[in-house]
Amino acid sequence: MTDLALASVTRLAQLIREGEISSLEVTRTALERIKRTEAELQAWETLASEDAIAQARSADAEVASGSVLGPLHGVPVGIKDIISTQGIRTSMGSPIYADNIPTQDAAVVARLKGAGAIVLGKTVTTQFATSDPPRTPNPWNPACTPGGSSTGSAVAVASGHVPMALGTQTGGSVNRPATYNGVTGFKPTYGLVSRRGVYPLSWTLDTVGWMARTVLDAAVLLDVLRGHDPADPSTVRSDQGRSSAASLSDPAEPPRLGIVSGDIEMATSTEMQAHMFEVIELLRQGGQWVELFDLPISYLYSRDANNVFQAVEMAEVHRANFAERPDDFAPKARAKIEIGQLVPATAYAQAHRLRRQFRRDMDESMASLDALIMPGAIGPAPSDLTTTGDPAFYAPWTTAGLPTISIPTGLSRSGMPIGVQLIGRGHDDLRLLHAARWVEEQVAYQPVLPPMAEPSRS
Amino acid sequence: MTASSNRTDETMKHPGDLTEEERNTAQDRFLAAAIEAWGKDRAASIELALNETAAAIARLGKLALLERRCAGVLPARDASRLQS
Repeated sequence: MTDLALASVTRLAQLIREGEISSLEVTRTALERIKRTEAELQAWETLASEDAIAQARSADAEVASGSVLGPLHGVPVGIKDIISTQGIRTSMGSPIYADNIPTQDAAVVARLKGAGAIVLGKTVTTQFATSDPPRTPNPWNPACTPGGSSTGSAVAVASGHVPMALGTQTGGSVNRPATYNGVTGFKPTYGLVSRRGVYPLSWTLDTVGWMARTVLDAAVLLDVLRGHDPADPSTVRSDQGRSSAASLSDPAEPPRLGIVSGDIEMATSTEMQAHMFEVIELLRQGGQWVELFDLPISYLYSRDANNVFQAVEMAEVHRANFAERPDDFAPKARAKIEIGQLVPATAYAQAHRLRRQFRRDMDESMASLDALIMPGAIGPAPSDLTTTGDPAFYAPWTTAGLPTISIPTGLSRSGMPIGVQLIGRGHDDLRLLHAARWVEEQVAYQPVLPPMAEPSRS
Repeated sequence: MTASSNRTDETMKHPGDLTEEERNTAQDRFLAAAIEAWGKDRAASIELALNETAAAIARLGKLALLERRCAGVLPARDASRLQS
C-alpha cells in the first residue's frame, strides 16, 4: 500500500500500461486512502468517486484492447478548486460559487483527460486563491500551516492520495505549499500553459503549476499541459522542441548553478541555511559548478509590483461580486479588493514597467547559468495557523514570469519537510528541469508519508 | 565567484528606497483615501495591509525606470518616464 501511495506518475502509468496493475485498483486504493484520512486531512473539496471509478474501468478496457490515450493513462489526479471541471462542482473556496457546476473543462483539465488522466476530484483552495488560511492542516504537524493557496493539492500529493495535482501560482501558491508538505512543485514560465477556465486572481501573474513526486513527473506534465491557446491571449507559440520528459533521460553535463545570495540568504533561518550548505556540498562533490549569484537591484521592488498587481486586478476581477456580496469574502481577500480599488493607475503602470525590467535583468544576469538555487522556504512551515506563509521566496519569480521548481531534500529537526527551489530562465523550462533532475539525483532524498497520512502510526 | 548583474542600469542609480518621512507621508495619504472610501473603522481594521501597499506604491513611484530604447538618446529625466 505504501509503495503505491508514494509511486510517481511515471511509475504508475508504466505499471498500468504494462498491465501490471489496473487503473481501477490504483483509483480504488486512492479513494480508500482518502476515506481513511480525509476526516483529519480535509484536502478535498469535492470527490468525484463514481465518475473516477467509471473512468478507471474505461481506461482498463482501453489497455486491454491495446489502446493507451497518453502518458497519464489511468492515473488519478487532483484539480485545485479554482480550475473548472465539467460536471464537478468548482467552488473557488467561496460561498458565492458553492453550487457552481461548470459545463466545460478548463483547458488544462481537458489536456489531462486527453492524456488519459482520471480526475479524482477537487482539492481545497484558499478562497479565490488568496491568502486566507483554509481548513486543511499540514499533515506533518497540524499546528503548522500547510501553506497555500494550492493547499489541498499539496496535501493530497504528500499524503499519497494522488501522485499529482494541479495548482496555480500568483505569489507562491505552488512552490510554498509544495515545500511545506514535502513534494515537488513546478511552476512553468508564464505563458506556456493556458489558463482558460481557471478563475483569475491576477491576469498579469496567474500561472498554472503542479505538484508531483519527482522532477521527471513535472516534465511529463509539462509535455501534456503546455501549448498555445487562442482563448488565453497570454499563451505563446513557444515550442521548446522535443519532449521534456524524453530529454531528461539523456545523460547531461552537470548544470551551472548560481546560489541566490543577498536578501534571500539573510532572510533564511539558521537551520535552513545549514541545510542549504549541506546540499551545496553534495552538489560540489558531484562535480557541479556552483557560484554565488547577486540579484539585480530591480529584484528589490518585484514584490511591490506583485502586491500592486494582485490588489488592482483582484479588485477588477471581483468588481461585480464584491458590489453585491462583500460580506461573503474572507477577510484578507476582502481587504485586498478594497485596497486594490484605491491604488493609483500610475502605480499600476509603474509596476508593469518594473516587471519588464526585472525580467530583463534576470535573463541577462542568468545568461551564463543553467539555473539559480535557493532554499525552498525561509524555514520549515511556521507554527502559525493565521497565515499561509511568507511569499517572499516565490513572488519575485512569479512577478518576472520565470519557471521555478521546488524539490524536497529532507526533514528539519522538528520533522517538517524542507527543500530547495530552483529558478530558470524564461522560456527555458527544459534547462531548469535538467538542472533540477541533477540536484534531485545528487541529493537522493527518499520521501516518506507524513504522520497524518498513516493513521495507524499517529 | 560572483556572477555579474546589470550594474549600469538606471534603476541601480535611483533605487526606490524610502526615507522614513516619505514612508509616513505615503501611508498617511493612503490611509486618508481608505477612510474616505470605506470609513474610519474599516480603514483601521486593514491598516497593516494598507501600509504595506502604500509603501509599495511609493517605492514604485520613486523608481526611475529607464527604457533602453531611450537610453543615451533622450535626457535621462524624460526618458525615465517614457513607456515602452
